[in-house]
Amino acid sequence: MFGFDTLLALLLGVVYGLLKGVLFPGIPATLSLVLVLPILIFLSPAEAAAAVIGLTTTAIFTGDAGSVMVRVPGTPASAAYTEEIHEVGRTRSPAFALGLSTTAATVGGLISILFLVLGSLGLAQVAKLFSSVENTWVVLMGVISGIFGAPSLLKGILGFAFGMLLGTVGVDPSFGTPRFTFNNPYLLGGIEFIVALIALFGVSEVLYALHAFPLHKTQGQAQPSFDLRRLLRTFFLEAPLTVWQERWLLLRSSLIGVFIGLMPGAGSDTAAWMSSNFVRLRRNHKPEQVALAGAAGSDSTIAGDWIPTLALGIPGDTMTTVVLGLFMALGITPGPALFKDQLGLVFQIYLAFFLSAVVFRPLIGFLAVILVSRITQIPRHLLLSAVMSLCIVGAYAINRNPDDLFLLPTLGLFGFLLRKSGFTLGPIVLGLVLGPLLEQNVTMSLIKAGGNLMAFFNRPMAAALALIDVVLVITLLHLRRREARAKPVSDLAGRYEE
Amino acid sequence: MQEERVWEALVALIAVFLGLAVWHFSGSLPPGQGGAPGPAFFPRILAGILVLGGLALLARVGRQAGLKPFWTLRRESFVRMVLLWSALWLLPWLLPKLGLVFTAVVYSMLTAALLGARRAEVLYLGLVVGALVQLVFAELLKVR
Repeated sequence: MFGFDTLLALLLGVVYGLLKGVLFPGIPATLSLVLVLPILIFLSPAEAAAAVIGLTTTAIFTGDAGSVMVRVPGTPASAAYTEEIHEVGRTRSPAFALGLSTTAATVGGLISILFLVLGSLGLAQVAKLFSSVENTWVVLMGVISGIFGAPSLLKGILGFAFGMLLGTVGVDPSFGTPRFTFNNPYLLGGIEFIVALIALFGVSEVLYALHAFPLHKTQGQAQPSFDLRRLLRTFFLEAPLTVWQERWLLLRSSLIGVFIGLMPGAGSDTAAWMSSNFVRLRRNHKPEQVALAGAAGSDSTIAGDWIPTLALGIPGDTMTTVVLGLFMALGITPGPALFKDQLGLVFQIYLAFFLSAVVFRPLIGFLAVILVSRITQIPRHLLLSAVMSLCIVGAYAINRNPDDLFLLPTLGLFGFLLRKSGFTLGPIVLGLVLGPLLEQNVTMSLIKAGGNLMAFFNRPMAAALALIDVVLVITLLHLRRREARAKPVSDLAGRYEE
Repeated sequence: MQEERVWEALVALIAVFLGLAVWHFSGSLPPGQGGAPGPAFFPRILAGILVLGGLALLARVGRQAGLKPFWTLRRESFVRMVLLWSALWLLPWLLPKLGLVFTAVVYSMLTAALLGARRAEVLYLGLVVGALVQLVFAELLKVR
């Protein structure tokens, strides 16, 4: 069932995630995923899913390497406890700090996998009863969460509208009418999703860096001494012992992470901030406790994010939105049908999560310790130059059509402008993925009901889902207002957006 | 913050312009039948959101006094960015002529030079990128 090729894809994903976290922490995790999409598209669905799981689970937790060594978080989640984990690394040792975060991430990951299996199987059973009316409300749930997930509500709405508008280019899915194609045959097939992602994330990142020229150069600190036995003892004995002493804190933070991951639109950074802030509220808290809570919180969201993605086809965060787009490009439609038609693939996904969390994570964590203590990070200006060429090659490799390359300057500049004006790219990608689904479900429901809008409330389950959507809007508005009143003050927050 | 407002104003104008254009072009799409919304239904909703949202963003930016035009902000780096962006438009013409590997090398070296890399770094990067693209994309994935 889990063949050698799938295992190899998982391992390669893990290694890529490790390299991303240790060698180039300045490259956002989503961009690192987008850059390999042109390669993943050539793999089978199981191999592609395994590689993505290996990459995402590893890239998130090795993001701590940058925090420990140079006080630069490798991921937005890591920014939540960068000060504390850097302090632990400075006062104890980098091996101890990374051992702490690896152990916390492993336990948090295990707890979230349990919820992933139970949650997605249960949710998929319920979703089997859904018609296009219920699906409309579920898709709307994802849209609402994505919009509210943006730092500014107005920008979230505009971003989603931009994304959905891009999704309307091409042949209309319900009526087969060409829209906004201007008699150009290239546009009939619509905007190529993966090329759009490469332009929005990759090209805009390079343009953004060029506009910020000269770049702030960060260099890793090479450790003066290397004692393998001492590293082993610190990483595999001392750090787990400290984690055991804080087991209740670990459990609480993991549960917070799973809960946040379950909510569509909320990601690992929210969980990391929330769980580490709970510890900061204590008067005599230690930096070890904050780092441990943040690492467990952020890593336990990863599998949680996948629950709505797999069971409902609603992405949990930007990363799973990209994964959802990749699945669609590979001909897989996540949702109840996936659990009915391709249960084998679903179980391979569970197994990939388990192997990644339990087998690979401790090994990769230790490798990260060795790497950060032996080598220097690759300068950001060289990395970005390589990113530029990979964007070009990747955009061309998808369809081998030079016309796709016109999207790079067009959407690259668009992404640059949006980022410069404080937009996050998450709602735009969400609009690209969920926009056509929303349109299809609304149109189908109205055709069935002969244009009667009450059809959206007639069935009990549809009415219940509509109510959940309303409650979600009210809750998110309330949370947003509360967050605006008491925003955590940190110079590291928001340095990375995706 | 001041700089962000300048870019916000530009994006707001784009949103309003795009919204109006979408409204105009969706007018030629066929109407819906039998209670179904036609293919223009969602584009028109989106057009409305873009125009109203863009105007709201403009109103917010309008309250800020003394904003400079965007092309005067960080003038030197702006020129570097525009140079790379202009070079990207040549890609559909350049790639079939130069081939995948050489195009990747040229653009990585150009980006590195614009980002202020030293000459040795630029050359070294070109070699690494060339080898990587040749190995992964040309040999392994057979992308030509």
